[in-house]
Amino acid sequence: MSESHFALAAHELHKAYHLGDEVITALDGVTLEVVEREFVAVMGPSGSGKSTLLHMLGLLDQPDAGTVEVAGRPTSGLNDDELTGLRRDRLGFLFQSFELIPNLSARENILLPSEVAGRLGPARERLKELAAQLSIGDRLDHRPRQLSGGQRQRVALARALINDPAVVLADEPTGNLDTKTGSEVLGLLRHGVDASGWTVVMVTHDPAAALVADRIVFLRDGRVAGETRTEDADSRQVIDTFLAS
Amino acid sequence: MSTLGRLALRNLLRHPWRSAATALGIGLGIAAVLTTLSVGANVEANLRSALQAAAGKADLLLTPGAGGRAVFDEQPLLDELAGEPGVKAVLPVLQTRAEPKRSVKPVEKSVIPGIDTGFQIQGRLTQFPDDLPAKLAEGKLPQAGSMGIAVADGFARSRGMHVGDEVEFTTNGGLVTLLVTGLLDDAVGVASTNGGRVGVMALADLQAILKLPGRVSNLEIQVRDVDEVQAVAQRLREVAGTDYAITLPAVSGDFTFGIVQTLQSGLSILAATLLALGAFLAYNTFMASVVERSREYALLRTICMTRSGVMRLALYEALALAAFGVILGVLLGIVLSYVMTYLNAASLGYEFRTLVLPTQNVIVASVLGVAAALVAGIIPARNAGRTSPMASLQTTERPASRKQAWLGLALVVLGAGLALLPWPGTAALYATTLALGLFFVGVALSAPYLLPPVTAVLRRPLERVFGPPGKLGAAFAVRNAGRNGVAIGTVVVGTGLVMGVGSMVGSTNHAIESWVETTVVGDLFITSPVNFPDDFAEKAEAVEGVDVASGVKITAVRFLQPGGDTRGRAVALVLVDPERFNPQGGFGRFQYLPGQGNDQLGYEALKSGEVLVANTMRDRYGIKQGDTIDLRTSDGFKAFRVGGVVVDFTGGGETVVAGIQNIEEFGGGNPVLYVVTIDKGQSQAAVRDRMLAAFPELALDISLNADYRRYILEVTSQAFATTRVLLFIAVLVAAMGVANTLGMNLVSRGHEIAVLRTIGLTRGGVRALVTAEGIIVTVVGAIIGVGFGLLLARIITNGAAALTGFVLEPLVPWSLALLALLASPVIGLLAALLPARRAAKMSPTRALASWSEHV
Repeated sequence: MSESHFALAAHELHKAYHLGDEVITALDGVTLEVVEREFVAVMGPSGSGKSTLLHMLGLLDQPDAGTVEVAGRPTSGLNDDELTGLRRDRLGFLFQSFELIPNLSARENILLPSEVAGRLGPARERLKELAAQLSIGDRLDHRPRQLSGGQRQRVALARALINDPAVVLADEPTGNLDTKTGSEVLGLLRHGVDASGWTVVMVTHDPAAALVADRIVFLRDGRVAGETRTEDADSRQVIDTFLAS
Repeated sequence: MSTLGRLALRNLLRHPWRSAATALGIGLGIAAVLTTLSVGANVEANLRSALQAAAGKADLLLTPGAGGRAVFDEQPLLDELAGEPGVKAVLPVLQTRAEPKRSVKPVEKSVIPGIDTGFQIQGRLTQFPDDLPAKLAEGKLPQAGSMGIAVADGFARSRGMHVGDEVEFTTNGGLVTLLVTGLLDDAVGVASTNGGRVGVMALADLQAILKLPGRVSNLEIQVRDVDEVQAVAQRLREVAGTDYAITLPAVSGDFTFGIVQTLQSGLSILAATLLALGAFLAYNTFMASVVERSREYALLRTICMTRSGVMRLALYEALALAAFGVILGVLLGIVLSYVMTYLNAASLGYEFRTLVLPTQNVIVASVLGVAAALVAGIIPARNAGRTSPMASLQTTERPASRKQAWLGLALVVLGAGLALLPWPGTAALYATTLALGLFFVGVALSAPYLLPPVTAVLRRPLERVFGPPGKLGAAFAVRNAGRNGVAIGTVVVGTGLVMGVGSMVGSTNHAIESWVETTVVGDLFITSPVNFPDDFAEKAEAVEGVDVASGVKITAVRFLQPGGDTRGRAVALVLVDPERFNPQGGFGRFQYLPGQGNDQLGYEALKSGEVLVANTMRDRYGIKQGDTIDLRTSDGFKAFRVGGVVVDFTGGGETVVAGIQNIEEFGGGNPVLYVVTIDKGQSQAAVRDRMLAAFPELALDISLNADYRRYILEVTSQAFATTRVLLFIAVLVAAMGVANTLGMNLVSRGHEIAVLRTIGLTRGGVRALVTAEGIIVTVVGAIIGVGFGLLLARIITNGAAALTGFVLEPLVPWSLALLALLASPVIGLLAALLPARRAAKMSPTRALASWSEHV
């Protein structure tokens, strides 16, 4: 597949952290390519490097070696402001702890990236669509503390999508939700990919969440340890085997 | 308003008490700056208001020039001026001091030369009531031939006087009985001046009593067209000649300028420091806010904002706080200005009539306040901007680095070094401010390393007083070292300032006491509400027990400042008997500056018609022994050789001393004060009683030496009343800084406190914990502050000496140091009251829940 069809592409990523005299290798040559309209889950035990990988993909940190391209645009050599602009315009973020700004209403939280980008007008129109799609239309003027966990995560999802990003990066999006609500959120992500053409990369440790994705990539000790497509019949077994090893 | 603007405002409202305290800190600084900038304007406005009230409808005043007599013949000047085109009316006025015979103690004397505070009688053309600057409240105006008087109604009430009463007055023409024909409304016009101690008579009657037929003190001139008043004034000056001065009524009050300039300069430095303290308070708040919201800033960096965008957001908050601070500051400035003007009026001896806050001063103070808040917000905003998006998953306080601590220590040493250097002139005061700033930042940076050892010492006593919570409080103090460091810095600055300024005040008092000991020597000090007769000295010396009676006249004289106004600048002129300062046989001594004269040279100088100048004159105008200065005399400006430079505190330090034998050159008249020495073995009280009995018609006011000195020192003390107000505000801001910091510590340690409550700590225990932390902060701050204050004492005193021209020796303020150390735990306790209460009210479950949610 040609690189121009990749929503997100990371090649041979290396990253190490220095803690005193100790060197900790977080990523050791990770390559990940995500096509448009794909839902990828990244799984791995603690210390496998999945959070570090997400930081690299989200342009939150720079790799020691390797490249990251977002919607076909290389990111190495960009300065901080350029990286920020790319994050704002081409990436969406969904966090485990929702990370809504408590002093802003749901509407203000959602529109914030567009307002900073100076595109408030079009964003207001898009908000109407997203509000309907995510069933939060009647909650837009509420503050986060007035929303349930599921509603908060949907507001956070709307914020991630307001600028029509190339990719949504989700870090354990159901970690702070009960099973039912978590399933609802995963369902929204799945539906968004299928019906609206979203592209999602989700880090999770939950097999049930990972099975909602199209493809699961396994990380161990900073390397890709394998992958499976969830449409395969034995994907659950593959997950269990990986987790047990 | 943009979302960011709304976010900035809402962030402030998230912690309303903290934001309010910070805005108040900035506001107090702005108020202090506004007030001190307006000191001069308020003194002037009040004096001019009084003069304007006294002048009534008069557009111009004609008074004798510097060389003229106190009274002059009204004709033919009256006719000449009245005939001038542009002049509508010319009204003669004769003024004199008097004393109602059965009156109680005389009023407080003004320290401003030329301001007379005795009872005043004005002789006017009472047959033209419409032209009188007075309003009748009861009875009738006295007409010529009636020997009547109309007095201010408030004064009459206080003395039990009524219309129809006959009252005896002691006047320069002797004892006289006057009929009270009417009462004047003391809210308006001339009856509102001089504290309402005013009476109006028919001109002819007063001239008869004083035996001054056809003579007046001044002419009040009404012009036809008020827009032409300057042109008319110029014409009348040509007609009247140089023997007379023609001025607008309110112009005559510019002689206070020297005193006010001294006061204003000193207070300005203090006010600027207060503004800086407010900025430190704001800095602490902003830093804490950035740390608390690092997660939020990291989120913003992640999803949409550049570094500069986040920095802008943080600065919006600083700006919003500054705006609140400005509003508070202007409102508080009005209140503080009222208090200061009232205190200044009491200490300088004039009436408090009005309050002015020039728009320019409001703008300057507000701009300075906003600038201070923005400066306080820059570093925190920069830190906010530098928040890495990676931090979006955690909230951490950056641990203090060794490099930071060493830098802090270096700044402390630099600040101390600045304070120790012998700065020349007013550079000392700027160096003080810089030293304060360096010390504050240095302490704030190095506190994380200072706190543990000091806290280790305090832990035991705190545990004794508060039990285990005391120990916990000590641990919290160390854990919150970064924030507490800034609060400690605030206490250091506050304590240092109190000690430094306190030492300066002590030094000034000491210098004045020393001056009083040396120069103001005598057994009795005698004044009278009426003029002393020409032969008073001989008659006084004839009283049993009196050795020498030496006259003193204190007045104002115009001094031609090089490059200044051609009319000259008013300074105090003290005319003394040179024999009083004769090294052989005299009883007083001047304190001469090194190399600027001595007792013998000074005595000879005064005898031969030369003058001595006070050190302030030397400092301000570069005058030294051997120079000549031009002073206005009866014959115009004349050069006088300077025979020496002395210490003198009269008139705020701008003083010229000359021999009383030259009194005619400076307008004539008689001494206003006699300094009397008594024979050995005589009792001061007994001689005083004999003097009172010998001169009943003069209604003498006689102070014994101790009483007179006490009076002078009380006046000095009153002059520092405004300084004490500002120092109190400094302590208040420091205490607010501590309270604010404790409150911020609570927010970040809420989880820990919740855990402690869960495992068994009572609400009282939580209160004790927070109180212990507060005490540690103030005690540590006070200990360092005392050390700093001892350094500051020297530099502030030297700066004050440079500013005022006074000779001041820095004193070591041991008593203040002890007071600061003893008071610091009390202040810590008070500062911790509200935060401790809030901490005790925190519900454990809520605190634990909010920690895990992060929303």
